[in-house]
Amino acid sequence: MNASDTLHRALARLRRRALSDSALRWLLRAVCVCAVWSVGVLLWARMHPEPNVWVWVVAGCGVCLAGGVVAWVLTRPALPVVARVVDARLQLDERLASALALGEVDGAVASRLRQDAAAHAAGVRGGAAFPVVRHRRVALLAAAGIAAVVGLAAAPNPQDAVLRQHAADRAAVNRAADAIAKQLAQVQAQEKKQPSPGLEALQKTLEQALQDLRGAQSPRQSLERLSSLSDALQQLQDPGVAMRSNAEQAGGDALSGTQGASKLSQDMAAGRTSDVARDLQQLGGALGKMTSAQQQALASGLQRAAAAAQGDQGLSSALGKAASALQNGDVAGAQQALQNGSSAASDLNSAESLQQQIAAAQSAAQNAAGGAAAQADADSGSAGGQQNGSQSSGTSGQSGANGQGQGQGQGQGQGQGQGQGQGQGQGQGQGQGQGQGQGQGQGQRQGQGQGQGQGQGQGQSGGSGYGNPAQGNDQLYVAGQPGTPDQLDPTPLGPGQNVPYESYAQVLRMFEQESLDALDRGDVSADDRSLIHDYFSQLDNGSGQ
Amino acid sequence: MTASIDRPTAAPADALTPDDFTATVAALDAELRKLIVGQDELVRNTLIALLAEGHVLLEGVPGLGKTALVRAVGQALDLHFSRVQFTPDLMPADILGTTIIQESEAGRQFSFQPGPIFANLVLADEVNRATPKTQSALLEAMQERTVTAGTRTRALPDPFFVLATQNPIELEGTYPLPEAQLDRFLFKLLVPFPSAPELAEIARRTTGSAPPQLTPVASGDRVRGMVDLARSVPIADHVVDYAVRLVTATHPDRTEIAEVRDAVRFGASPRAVQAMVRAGKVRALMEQRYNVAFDDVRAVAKPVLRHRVFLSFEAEAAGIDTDTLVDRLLEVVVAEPVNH
Repeated sequence: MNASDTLHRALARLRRRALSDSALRWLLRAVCVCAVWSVGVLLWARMHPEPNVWVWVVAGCGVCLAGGVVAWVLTRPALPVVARVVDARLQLDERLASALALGEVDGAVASRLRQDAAAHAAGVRGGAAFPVVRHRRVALLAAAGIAAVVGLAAAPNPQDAVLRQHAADRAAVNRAADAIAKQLAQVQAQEKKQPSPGLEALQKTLEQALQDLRGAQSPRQSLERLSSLSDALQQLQDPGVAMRSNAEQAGGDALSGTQGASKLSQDMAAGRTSDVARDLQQLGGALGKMTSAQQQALASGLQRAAAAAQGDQGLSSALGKAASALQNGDVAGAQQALQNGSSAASDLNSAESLQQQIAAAQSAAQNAAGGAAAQADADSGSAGGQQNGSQSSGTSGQSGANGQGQGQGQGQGQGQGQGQGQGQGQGQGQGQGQGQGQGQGQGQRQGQGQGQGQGQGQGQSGGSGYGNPAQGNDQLYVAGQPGTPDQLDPTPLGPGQNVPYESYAQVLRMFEQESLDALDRGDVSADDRSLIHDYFSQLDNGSGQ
Repeated sequence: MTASIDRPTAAPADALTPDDFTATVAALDAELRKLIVGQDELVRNTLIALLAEGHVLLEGVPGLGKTALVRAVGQALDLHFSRVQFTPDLMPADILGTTIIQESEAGRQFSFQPGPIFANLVLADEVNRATPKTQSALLEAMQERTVTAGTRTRALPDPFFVLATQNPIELEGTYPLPEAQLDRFLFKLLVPFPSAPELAEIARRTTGSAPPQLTPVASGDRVRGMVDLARSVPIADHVVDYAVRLVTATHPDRTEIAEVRDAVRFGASPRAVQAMVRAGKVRALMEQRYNVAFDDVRAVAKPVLRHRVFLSFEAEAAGIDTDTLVDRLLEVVVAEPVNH
């Protein structure tokens, strides 16, 4: 092997070492940049809620490492560079670079140079020319950067709570939207089977509400939109349907014991409206086979039923006309009247079905509102906890004023009404009233509630004891039954303004009435209805005492 | 990254080898040491200049051995040596030669009488005492190695070296060498005052009954061969580039060095790069190396640049000298930028 081959072989070996050295250098630099990027992102994430912080970290580090690879490829040392670097680092007096550049030129000096360079190159260790320790400073920087990243990642991030709250908010909004979507699907299926203007209106209402809910940015917004939906559903409700149903049941009771109309009376008493329509048609068909005495007995029964079913004008009128016709022996007229009665029953059946859909939608909206309200309350609690107590004490006087106004007449009862009635039915009046009253920005949502509950004895101090200050325009929404329009108080209370007084007996009466109305609209068994009636009877007796 | 090189041409088979070169240099150095005490760097640089085919300007106060050194070199080399004592009334013809009328069988005819410059080694003693006209007579001889008298140009002997001396302190009746003349000297060497032990040794050697006698160790052909061998030493482009950057940095309008911008009136000419490379090659061989290194360039930077960088009046008044500036250049200009 000649000197030139020896030289090139040695330089090739040194170049491999130089390549790995260069790769290590760029890797360490890339790690440093990655660490700087990661620390920056993590610091940013500690100041601003960023849910995708690790995506940013990983993406940035990927770019940095890729950049390091590209830089390494572009700056890979060529053989002459390796020779020059080795010359400089090992004080070889430019032997290697000169011999490499000289090539295969003949001559005494050139030959000696090649031999001299080959001898020097053969003795060079790669580790001596490209020692790893040269990267110590960058490696220390990289290690410090990694330690900083690990430290920041391990340290609690104050924004995590905010992120969890945002996630919970989004989940609450989605749950509310899903509940309404599920209800909408049921209405659409029903509308396909049995189209009606009422169902179409309900469907449009739900579609609009669903669209609004999808666009809600917070539980409070979804709560506002659910509240609007409840209002819209309330307007779709027809209170007369319940009255007609009650009238039909009363008519059934009155008709019981009438020969030839036993099934009709049972179905009417049980509220099976769809069967009632069929029963009336069948009864009309059976009139011709009845004897005169039977017809007269039936006429008498129908007459009683018509009188008992005054709440449903169509059915009552049809039954009355049928009774009159039978009494006059006009079988055809009686059949026609019973046919009209069947139509009235069918109409009632459709109306009941629609009301059931509306009630179901209301129930779904209420459930969704409950979840959203719970989340909104949680948000308010966490937000309030971050505020200082000076705001609380600064508004305590207003809270105390409210506490006095409420506490004088209501005492503990009012306090409980606020706490429980929101979700249990008192909510028609209390729920709405509370929501608006607290939304005035008195400065202490909770303070109002407590002030009322503790009554006179606590006075001003009772109001100031509650430390969840609210923003000026904050409103607190609580889950509850939507009130009728006349029960709602759309006018928010002003600062220091007392909550309107309302007697417990009046509230209880409203609660009872609303409950019984809802009971009539719902698909509740007769035993349960009786149990609830008994419960309110006992309450009435108690209040009377 | 450059990968090219100043490729030497192939030397003839019977040419000197690098070992012959170093052996001859060692013998020459040993011979000079018989007469010259100390002055290691001066002797070494003088030999470098000679083997680089360059002329040398020796500057020093009287009595430091400038003339003795040149005479010793002349004795150690088997070369035709001549000495010219420059005085204000010296005329160019006294150096170059003149045409005279000679009687012959064919009658009277003009013939050229060569002057003392027709020698291999010319000592121009106290060169700054001659008038500029006479000093200029050396220009063609030093650069072209020819002499033109009348209408005829004659070649000077090969090899041809001029070693001039000048006294820096006796300015009365002197004529400073013009820049063009200075630029033709490869080196300007400063002759330092000897140390006390060296003075004692000088006294011992030169005051005895038998002054040292030098023996020639190399003929003209040998010197010619050594010059050619030195020229064949390769120099990589990045080393040449270093020399270029050094020279460029001496120019006040091309440098980033504040001291140079403030103190320098004119920077070194392109001859400075040539001088550094030629001298670097000789030094490499003398170091038993076969390529020019950055160290070679650095080692010859001062003697090459000190007479080619012209300071401003303010700088001279402030006591700044070119050696200080060259030190600054060597400190600032990075030799190997790829050593990251």
